[in-house]
Amino acid sequence: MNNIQRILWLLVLAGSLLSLQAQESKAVQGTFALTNARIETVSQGVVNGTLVIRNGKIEALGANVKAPADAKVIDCTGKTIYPGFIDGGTQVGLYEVGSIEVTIDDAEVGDFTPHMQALTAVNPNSVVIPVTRVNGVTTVLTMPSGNVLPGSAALISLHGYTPEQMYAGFKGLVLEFPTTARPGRFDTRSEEDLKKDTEKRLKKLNDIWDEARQYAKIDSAFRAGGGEAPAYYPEMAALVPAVLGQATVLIEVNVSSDIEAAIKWVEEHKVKAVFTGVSEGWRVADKLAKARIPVITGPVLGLPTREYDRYDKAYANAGLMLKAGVKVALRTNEARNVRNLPFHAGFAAAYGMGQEAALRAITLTPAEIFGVADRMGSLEVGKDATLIVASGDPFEPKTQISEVFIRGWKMPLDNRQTRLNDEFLQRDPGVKK
Amino acid sequence: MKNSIIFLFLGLAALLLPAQAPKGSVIVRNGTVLTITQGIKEKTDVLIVDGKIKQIGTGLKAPAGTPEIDATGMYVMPGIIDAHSHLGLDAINEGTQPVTAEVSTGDAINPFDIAIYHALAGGVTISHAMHGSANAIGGECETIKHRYGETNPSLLKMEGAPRTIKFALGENPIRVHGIGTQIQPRTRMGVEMVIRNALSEAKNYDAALQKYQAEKKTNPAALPPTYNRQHETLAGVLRGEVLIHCHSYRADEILMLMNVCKDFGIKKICFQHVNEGFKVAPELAQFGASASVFSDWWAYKFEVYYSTAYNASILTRNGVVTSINSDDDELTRHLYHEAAKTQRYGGLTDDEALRLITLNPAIQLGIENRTGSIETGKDGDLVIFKNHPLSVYAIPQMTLIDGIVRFDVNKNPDDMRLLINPDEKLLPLIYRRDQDDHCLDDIQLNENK
Amino acid sequence: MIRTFLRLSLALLWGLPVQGLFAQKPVTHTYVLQHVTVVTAPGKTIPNTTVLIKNGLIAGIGPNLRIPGEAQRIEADSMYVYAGFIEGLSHTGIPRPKAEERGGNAPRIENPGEPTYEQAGITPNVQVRSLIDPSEASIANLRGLGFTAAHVVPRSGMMPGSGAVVLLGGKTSDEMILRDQVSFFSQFTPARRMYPATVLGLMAKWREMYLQSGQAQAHMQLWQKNPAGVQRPAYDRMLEAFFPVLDKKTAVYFKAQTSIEAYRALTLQKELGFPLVLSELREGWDMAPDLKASGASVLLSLNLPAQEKKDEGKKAAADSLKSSEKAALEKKAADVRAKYIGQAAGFQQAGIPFAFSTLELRDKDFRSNLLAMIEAGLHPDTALAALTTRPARLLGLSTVMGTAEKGKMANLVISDKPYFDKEAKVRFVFVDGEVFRMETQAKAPAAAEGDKKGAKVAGKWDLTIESPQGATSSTLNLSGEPGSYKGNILLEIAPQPIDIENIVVSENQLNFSFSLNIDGETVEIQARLTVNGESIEGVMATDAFGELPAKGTRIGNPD
Repeated sequence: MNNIQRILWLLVLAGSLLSLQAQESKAVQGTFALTNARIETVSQGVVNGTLVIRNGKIEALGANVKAPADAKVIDCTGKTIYPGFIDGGTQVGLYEVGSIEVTIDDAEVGDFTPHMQALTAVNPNSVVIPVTRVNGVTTVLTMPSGNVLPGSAALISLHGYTPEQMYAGFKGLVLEFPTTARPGRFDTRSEEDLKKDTEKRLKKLNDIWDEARQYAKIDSAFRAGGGEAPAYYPEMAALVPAVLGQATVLIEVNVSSDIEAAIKWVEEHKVKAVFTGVSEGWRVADKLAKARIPVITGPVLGLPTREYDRYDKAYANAGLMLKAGVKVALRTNEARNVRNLPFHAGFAAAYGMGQEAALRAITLTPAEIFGVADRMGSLEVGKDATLIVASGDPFEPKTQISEVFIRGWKMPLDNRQTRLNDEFLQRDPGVKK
Repeated sequence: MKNSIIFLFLGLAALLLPAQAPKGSVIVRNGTVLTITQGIKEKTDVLIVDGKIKQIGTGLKAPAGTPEIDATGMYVMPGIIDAHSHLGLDAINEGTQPVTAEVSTGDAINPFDIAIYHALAGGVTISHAMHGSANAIGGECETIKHRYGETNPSLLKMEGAPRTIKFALGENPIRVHGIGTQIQPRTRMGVEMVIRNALSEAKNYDAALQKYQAEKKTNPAALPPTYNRQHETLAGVLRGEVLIHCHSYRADEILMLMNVCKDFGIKKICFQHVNEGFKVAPELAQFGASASVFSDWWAYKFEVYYSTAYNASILTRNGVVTSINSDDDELTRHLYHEAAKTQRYGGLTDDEALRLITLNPAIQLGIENRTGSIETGKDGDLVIFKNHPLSVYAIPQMTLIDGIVRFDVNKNPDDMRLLINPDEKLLPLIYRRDQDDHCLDDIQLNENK
Repeated sequence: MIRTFLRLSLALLWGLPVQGLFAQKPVTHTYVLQHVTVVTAPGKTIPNTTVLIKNGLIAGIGPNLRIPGEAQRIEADSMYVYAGFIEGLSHTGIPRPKAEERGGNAPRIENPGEPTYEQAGITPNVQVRSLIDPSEASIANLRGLGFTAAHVVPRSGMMPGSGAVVLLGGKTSDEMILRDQVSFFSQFTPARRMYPATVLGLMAKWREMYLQSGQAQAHMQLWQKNPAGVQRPAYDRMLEAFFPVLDKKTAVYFKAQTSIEAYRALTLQKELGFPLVLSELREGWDMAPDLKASGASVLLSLNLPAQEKKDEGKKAAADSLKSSEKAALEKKAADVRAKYIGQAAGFQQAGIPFAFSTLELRDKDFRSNLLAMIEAGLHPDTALAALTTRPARLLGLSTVMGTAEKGKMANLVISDKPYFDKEAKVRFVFVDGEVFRMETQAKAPAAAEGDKKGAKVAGKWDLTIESPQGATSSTLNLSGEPGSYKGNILLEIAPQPIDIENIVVSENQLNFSFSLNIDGETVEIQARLTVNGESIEGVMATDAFGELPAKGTRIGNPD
């Protein structure tokens, strides 16, 4: 009896401990004053002082700002506040365990699926999300892939319990531009066949685009009260905003000659385009700059695309494009290790981009490209309080992130990986039974 | 262009002394020397003579004619060692049977692999070029020095490095054999027995061999056991001459192999990948096993879903000799950065973090008496960095092996290939980068889906 | 999948038997050549002399020979006579294995770890005698270039079998074989999807078999000496095939085209101590010191990379490379090409004797490649030695062949100009004392001439090509006038019609060629068709794969 009571008591204790932990790992909203901080605004240089968060927004920031009476004060002496980082291309939320296909939702079957919506399949409870967040990555573009028109990517905040809550205000149609590159050494098509296949795919793309234009025409005529309703054709309906030049098309293109072809295609089809990937952008940087097409490039930590290219071409690519006048944002193109985005930016910075430009390439520049710069990307009064507090340069591995706020929510800094550390750093019992 | 002069010189040296790796003399002046074993030495010279570190100190005098490298404002550290790699190999897996201890990656070295140069450009001087993980017992591995420019494959082998062998547990051997061809092992139970069987057979073979050697002195009709290369190699494992490096992920399988080793009297083992090593860190420490891990790779398959980037720091804090490896031609180029991540995940000190890619992998490969730190008498393998190697802004400037500059950031033409197919196509290959262990390369899986 | 299958069906062609070599019996076995220049050995020349051939031997060379009455005079006045060439290593006369035997669709075996020797490509017991087909087209082709003997080895697997010295003339394989089991052939060809599937397993298997064969031999010797009290040795024909190598009576000829392969073979040689001949070496230009140190002999490949094509620049331009980048790449390619071509000259300079092997040679490239090597510094005498005295010595045949001297076998090649002259043509070849007359082919203008009196070939032809996997249909489209025909051919396996070239019409014979890209490899196909009114029949032939029957009818006017 005594023993049973003891066990019951232990269970109660354990339960309360667990609930305590659960409380700690929940985001909280409120009014916060981050005081004595070095504030890296990105848009207006560095300010030393206080930043006030209220109702999810930055209410005030500056040297003379006082912490409001109702605010929870967080002393940031010796620390720096940065805008939350934006990864311009990931598969976060669509991907769980690599070798288990049923946990991966980024590529639908079919060779023409523009009506697929990445946002639909985002798993808000993916284990990846809290792991990513703690390194300062607060917002990511999550992208479908797989065929020429695999669907729409969505910008998501890394906090929320439904995809709708996570949605951060931008969707873009993904277009994988027909490429002359081989996906790998297993591809033994002859050069001629490769070229022919590419031409075939490009022709198919153009045919689809023409059809979509036709569909858009019927659709607008119908909306204007003339003619029949267009037939149910969700693939075509999904393309309407893109062919009308209203919606952004994210064009995945990497090889220099493909980039040139894509520039031509964009000009011919009057598409509102953003190029993604662009791993050989350095080769045709002038042409990219002239075409004024923004670029989301990465991974930075990559091998050169060609064996005869300099070993550091992937590191240097972003900087070389920027120098030529291209608007450049960065991405990891990762699912599991999007947390490394600040390190990718660090490498780009070291290999010619410079720290300031690299920081912009993962904050304000992507926000501008996605048309959400009025809400995020820099620390300004009125913008979303999506920001991080770091013990130093957040690109340096040694630096620790002590706070992450997403739209004013103070995020917990634990995740499964930290909890495993907490449990196993000093395992008890150790080697004894 | 000047680089080709270096290579030209190397070519001449090779002409005079065939099949001997060239060695050089050089003095690296006035750098911040990260010795690993003896702290940081500011404004210090390192003198290398005939491939060996002769002296470390200030204002050193070098023999006349010794080339000088000015490292003022730079960091000088020992050559980085990657304890898990598959670069420079034409084949990785002889994945046709669950035990292939008879094969050796030393037979598959490809000195023309551009990945070797890329690794050099990341400060890596030594790779453990491993067999893959298709088999419960794979082949022997080769510890290679990145002497890019040599065309004789055997000149890349680190002469005198101990023999090592790849074992593999878990999903990979199960997928290839049990699921692929319905041959044991299909489970982690089977993996244990395949390994126990192979070691037992080797033990018996060795006993038969001993018996024959004794018997033949008196009996001319005595016959030796039929030569079996697999048994020969595994007998070497049992004698402790061949070090086990075991691909493993889950806590249970790590414990299993330690038990097997105990039963067979095997003392030295290094667990590779070992994503759940942190869960059994006390057991690893007690056994004296070491661990070679990824900095942060996880979730590429189920057995690495419950991983943590704190693995290296937990293992270190529990007294396990730990290294950070790449298993990947891209990742190996910035192992210094991978090591630095342990400062974010677990707060390791600079010294602890640098040991993960220098002295610790050297210990795991059994070459710590020659490499892994800057000490007199050790090999002249150095990297010179602009900015501290644990900073994200670190850029390797020069990599030296045996006192010879094999990479120089300022003398680095774009195209560093040693041999090309003159008929080759100019089209690029765009690889979709995926973080996965490369231990199943070469294998065509035959899984029933 | 279907597409790949169709590709294979065209790609994997093999030769059909052609007519017997000797239409009729010769009236005599005695021949005389007069007023010829004889290069008796590399660097040794006798001008304006007479050569007498009798009963398969060179009966005499000299100005004052007595010419017997039965001697048949060969119209070789003012021509050049050389010892017949010897292929250091080749597959001449051995038909290509059929697709399924080549492992194209190797069936899965139950336990890929334990294949039979044969499945694994380990057949060192196989002998050339059972494989040679005297009617195989390569025999006549090589002979036409001046080769009179070849060291022939079987084709498939890592240990395909033993080699034989084969005369490139004769009605039966027994008649053709001069010496059997002269070598142990090996190559770096792993088995497919079974052990050894990679070079890793291959090297291990090699060592293991070699060491086991040593044990087997010792056991056998022990037992043969006195079987009492000795366990009976098991009989293993694969291990026994190693015995002559163990005894160092036979060398291992290792096919090693790249330096990496060559070093692997040297590694085995160093560890196991067998006599080694590195064969078909293409990329050995840095290897001279290591080769010298090893004591291995070497056969250099006559197979060179394709010469720079004129449209290469265009291809690169399409790839939007910067011009400086393109120039650097082209220079690098040219430099490497020069290394291949200069390899032989390099070995000559390093003082390493070598012969040539022809395992990978395309017959039509032989002379141009040889001349390119000479242009790159190879002395014609060294080249001749590599084709005659050196292989003879390597094969232990110096007493019977390799030089044009009295008493040697009458294996001779006779060209109208010095052989290494660009314009030279082989006019006669003697093999084992029998003469083969080479027809001089008329050049292009003559062919154009021929067009005029040729059959009417213009039109659209429906053509069925018989491949081993079944018939495949194609459409041949020919337009234009005699002398200026143009056309293309549409094949099931290609998406678009392929232009045909070198269209020659002579009487009712229509010849043309085209190149087909099969999985990145260019295959040149020669069509030789006979037009008979509205029907057409003949073969599609390739150097590499052999001939394939084609047949069809005219279905209309050209497009």
